[in-house]
Amino acid sequence: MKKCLTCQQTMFEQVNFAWLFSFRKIQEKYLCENCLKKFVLIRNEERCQGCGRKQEKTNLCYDCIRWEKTGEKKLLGNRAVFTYNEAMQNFMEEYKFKGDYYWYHIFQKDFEQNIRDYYNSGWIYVPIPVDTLTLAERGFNQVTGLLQSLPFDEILKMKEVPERIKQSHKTRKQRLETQQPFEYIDKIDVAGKKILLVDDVYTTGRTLYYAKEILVKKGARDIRSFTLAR
Amino acid sequence: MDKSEFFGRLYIVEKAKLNQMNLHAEHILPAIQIRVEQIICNRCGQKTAKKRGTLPNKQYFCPKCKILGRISTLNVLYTIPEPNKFTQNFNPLSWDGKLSLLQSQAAKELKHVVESKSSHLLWAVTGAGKTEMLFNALEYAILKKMRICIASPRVDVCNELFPRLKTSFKQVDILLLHGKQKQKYRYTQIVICTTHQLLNFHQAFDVLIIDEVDSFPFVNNRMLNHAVKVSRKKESALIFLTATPTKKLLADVRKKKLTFSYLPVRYHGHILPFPKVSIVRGWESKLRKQKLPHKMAKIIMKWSKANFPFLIFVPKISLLEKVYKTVRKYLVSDTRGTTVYANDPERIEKVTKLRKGELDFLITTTILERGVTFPNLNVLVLGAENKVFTKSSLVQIAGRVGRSSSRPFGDVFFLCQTSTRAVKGALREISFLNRKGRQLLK
Ligand SMILES: [Zn+2]
Ligand SMILES: [Zn+2]
Ligand SMILES: [Zn+2]
Repeated sequence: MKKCLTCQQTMFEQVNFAWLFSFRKIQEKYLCENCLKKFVLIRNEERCQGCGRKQEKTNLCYDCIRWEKTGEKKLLGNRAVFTYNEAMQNFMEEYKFKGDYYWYHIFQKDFEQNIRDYYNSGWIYVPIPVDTLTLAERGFNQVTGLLQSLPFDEILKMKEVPERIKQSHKTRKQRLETQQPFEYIDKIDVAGKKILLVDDVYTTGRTLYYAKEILVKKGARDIRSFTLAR
Repeated sequence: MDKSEFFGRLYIVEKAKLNQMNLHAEHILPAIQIRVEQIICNRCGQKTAKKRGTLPNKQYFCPKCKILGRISTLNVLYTIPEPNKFTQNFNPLSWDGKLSLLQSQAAKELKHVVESKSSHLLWAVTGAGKTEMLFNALEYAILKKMRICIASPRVDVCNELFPRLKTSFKQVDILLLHGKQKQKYRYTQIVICTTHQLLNFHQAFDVLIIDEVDSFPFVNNRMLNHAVKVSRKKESALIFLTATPTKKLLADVRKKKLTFSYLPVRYHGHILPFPKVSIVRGWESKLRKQKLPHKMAKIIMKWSKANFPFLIFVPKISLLEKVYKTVRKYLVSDTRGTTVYANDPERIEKVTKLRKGELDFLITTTILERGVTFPNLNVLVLGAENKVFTKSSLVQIAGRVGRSSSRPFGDVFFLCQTSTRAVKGALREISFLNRKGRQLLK
């Protein structure tokens, strides 16, 4: 009997005739209906075109207008699958901060499917990297964990800065003042290519715009981003 | 880092940092053992299917004890064997209270358990004065430079024990450890902690006391057993204290794995109040119409008139408001009461108010079944047939009553749709203890 990863309640598999006569493998469940309901999807017609935030209309939100004012000519057009609510915060706590890697199962398949649906051919998927220290401690990059079966290219790397303050411990202001944190790894030529940056959460957008800045310099043609939550 | 922090501790070290740390190779343990289909955690002792504990690059982690900070094959565990490096203390006990005759008998037995490093179960009724009965044994252990731990599954119990031990052993360094506080770890002769925290120790304690072992009936018993086994030295004293022993503990007594003693009489020399059971059919549908069962209405009106504080236990949080509103209708308007539950941010204040007489009653979930005492209290359980009210839970609830020597009795009512095994078991247990108690008091 399987238990819901969040509430530990036993889940009963619902096997019906439709399944018996199909050749589809039964989808494994990791969360019960109740816990799953707590995640809020962001639909296409109710998101900011710049950052993917859930809102009534599709116009640019306040934050994105600010990005434009700082001279960003083309916004990332971020898409996020879910809002960053309490359930998502709890997910990140268990998956990323407590390091329970198994939790990637909850979203991986749907996350990959969403990426394929919107950015199918000609896109290079580039995950946002994790710094060496965190990677050594945690043992995984939370972004690539969600991308396991898609072909992705790790062409960005965190610069080695001794005693760098961890992103989550910074205030918004400190985060915005951070200098370019990434380096380009010369694995593939991105000149003229379409790049999809992938991250777990879009918070201020700062991280993703830094990544974009590097790839623009390398001649990438179109750079968008995709995150699990906004 | 001070070396003493490793004494008898399991310290997590990242493999990547191993060479900077200059540790003794013979004190390093692997964090995880890898088997064919499973991994075994060397901290919590639990087995996990490889699939559940996989990390990229053929690494593994233990999901079972991640609440203490995840350990994985990227770590090792480091420990320095417990050296008992404590300053000699010649007069550690600063308590000047007196034990009753029965209490001092039990205290003598416990001291003997420590002397002989054996394992023992003390079944002492609620309100017997367990903590004070430990003092002689603890004093002996401190004189002998033994390292001591008192652990309980409940944070509340730890929080209550800590100040009492501090005032009774003023010269001894005592540390309180649990997940909900920020106290940094340091090496001390006495540790008070939650049973979870025991997993961070390795053959550290000469005396391990487990208070209210049964207080979480659904705890992972295998993990708890492992913690009890590895946190204490191979030769050490083990004492279980409880008012409601589990079947497992009593079976261990029968198998002679534990020695055993009763204390069926309370510190003030009286036995437990005996609960009255009333069958109240359809209490939930009555409640929906904002009515109380006739019997219940009569009881609470009587209590309220006599001006005694009371607790009403209900089986679910969702019933609290409804019961509160309905109860209100039967009481005079200046009667003061409220509801309380486990995660209630004002829980502690509300309990204090009832104790001080600033409130007259509380409607509560099982959270107040133990660890709290109020003078002159009466209690009633509404819906005692619900499975949250286990036998031990009902015995504990009854044990809230008659705690003060000024009123060593009081009313306990179990109101239920039908009488369950738990209800019958609780009555049987209390009458058994009272029979034992009467024999002693003769
Ligand atoms: Zn669930
Ligand atoms: Zn926006
Ligand atoms: Zn473990």
